[in-house]
Amino acid sequence: MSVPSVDAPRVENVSFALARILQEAGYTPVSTPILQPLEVFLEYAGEDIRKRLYSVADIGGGEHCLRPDLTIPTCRHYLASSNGANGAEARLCYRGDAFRYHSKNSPKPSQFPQVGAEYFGGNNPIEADAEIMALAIDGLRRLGCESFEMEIGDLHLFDALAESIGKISPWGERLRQVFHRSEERFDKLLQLAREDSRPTRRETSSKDDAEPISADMVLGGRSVEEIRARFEERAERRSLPPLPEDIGAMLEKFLCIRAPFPRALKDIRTVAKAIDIAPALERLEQRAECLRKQGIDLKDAVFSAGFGRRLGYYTGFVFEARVGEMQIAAGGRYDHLLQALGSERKIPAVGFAARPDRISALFPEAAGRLEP
Amino acid sequence: MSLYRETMESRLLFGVPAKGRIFEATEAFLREAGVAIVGQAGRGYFGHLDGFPEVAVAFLPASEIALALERGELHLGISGKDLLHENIEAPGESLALIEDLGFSRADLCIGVPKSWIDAEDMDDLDDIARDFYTKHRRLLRVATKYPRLTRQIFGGHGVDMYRIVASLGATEGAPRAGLAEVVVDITSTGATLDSNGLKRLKDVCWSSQAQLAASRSAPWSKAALELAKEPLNKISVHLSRDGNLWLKNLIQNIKT
Repeated sequence: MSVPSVDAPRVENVSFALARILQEAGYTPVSTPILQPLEVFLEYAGEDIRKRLYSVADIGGGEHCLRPDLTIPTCRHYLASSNGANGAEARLCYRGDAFRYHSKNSPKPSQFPQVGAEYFGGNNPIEADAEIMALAIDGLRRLGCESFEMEIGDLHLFDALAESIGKISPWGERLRQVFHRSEERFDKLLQLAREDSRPTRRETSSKDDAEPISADMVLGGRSVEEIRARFEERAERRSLPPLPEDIGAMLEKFLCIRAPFPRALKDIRTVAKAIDIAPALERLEQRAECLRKQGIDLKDAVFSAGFGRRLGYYTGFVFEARVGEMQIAAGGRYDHLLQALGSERKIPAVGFAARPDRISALFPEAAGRLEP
Repeated sequence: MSLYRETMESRLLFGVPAKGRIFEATEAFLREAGVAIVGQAGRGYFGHLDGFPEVAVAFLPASEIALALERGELHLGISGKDLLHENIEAPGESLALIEDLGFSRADLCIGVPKSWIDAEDMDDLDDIARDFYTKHRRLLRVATKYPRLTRQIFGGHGVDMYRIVASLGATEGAPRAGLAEVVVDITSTGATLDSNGLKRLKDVCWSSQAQLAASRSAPWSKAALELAKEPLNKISVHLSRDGNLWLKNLIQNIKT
């Protein structure tokens, strides 16, 4: 789908109107530097973002990049504040341009506006999830986006499934670890887990076959113990009994679930009936209930069991608003990022970002009814 | 480069590597095909093909040939597949590949320390990279002269917890010197990896060889296309390929 043409004053109007909606909802606007430390983004942004970074070297030897999104800068802003230092609850919002490299022939702009909100801390994650999604949908509706599709997912659901499987098969934990990597990698692992590969395992797979290694070899920054420990762990995995057939088949069916939320919920119950994931399912229902109270009905939202697997730093609830193939807003929960960015305590976080440029191109009347 | 542009209306401009083993191999290949290079690198800008005074030969560094073809500053060129793919973002779009030439063969490999007995393939590297980050709080460093290809290969295997460190000189020495943990480099025998205490991951072997390619954006005048016919035909005969098919494909691909 090609990117519709951009009318700068209209985009600015939409961006401003949405920022005001967020502010009225109690989110404090923050502004963050466009120029960010390169190191931070190299380490914490996913490879998809990393290969799109614009890096800038200064004459003093410093390395920076143009912010590829506003979430990480907003996290850093929060962590530098007294609230962030104490892990206290904070609701922040932002609007500004982000920069991502796209190849010459791509119709996507390399500089694009984002408006979004981040909810840090708090002790009721379900309500926080619902608040953020309701804020996003309500914002889009008030701007005048008449129709868009919603897709939702919950990465926590697979974690719960894998944890339950872990009680009957050692493959559970391994499947959980690999779930967030590439789909090819996961499919390969699932296949390996289902086959009885013990008789065909490779020659180096036995613990006793370990080649001698010593500290005077080139070790590549790892200790001899570290290498041996992983070697043994890997050898052990290769001698595991296969995943029970019904569990393997169940996982395959589970990952294919993609349906309107009420039916998806029913399908999950049917597919996973042999496994206890009741608490995780309850969370899904509680969240839906919270959303209902805020005027958001999930009956038309598509729930997809595999949605969000490769979306960078997300850890739980994820959602996206689309028109056709074009995403106009997206968000989710990212509970590990603040710690990775240097926070000493675990701080839960959930947020979303919208694209005023796409909104104004798809809905020419957007923000028209709001005062400038 | 504007000198080239002026030349390109009335002549066919053919880029060949200026030096090194790929230069010697290219020179021998063209001689055997019956279109020997007349003139020498370093002695003036252009040589020409024997019997074709209007087919000008530009001697350029092999990586520069890739860029010049992309920019449309050469009609035809011979370079390594590795350099074409490393230096051009979308070689499939800006170039029309004519043929693999079968010489200057080498493989792009991933080299890890031999001591890593837990590393056999890219899936292992994916696990090790994550483990490394968790234990050492820094990303695994990959030394290479091929950052674009490295990103493509690693990305294709879902490996993302690493950072590339640019390598200017002896890439394979980087792990021993403590400048990187992993290397990605071209090797024809693997001997350099071995002598630096490294081994290759077995599931990555990106094969490179010399390739003959045409620029899609070069000013392909009727005269230039006409000049290309006979030398291409001679090369195709030498490789036992169908020269008419080459020409047909070329005409389809270029912007005249």
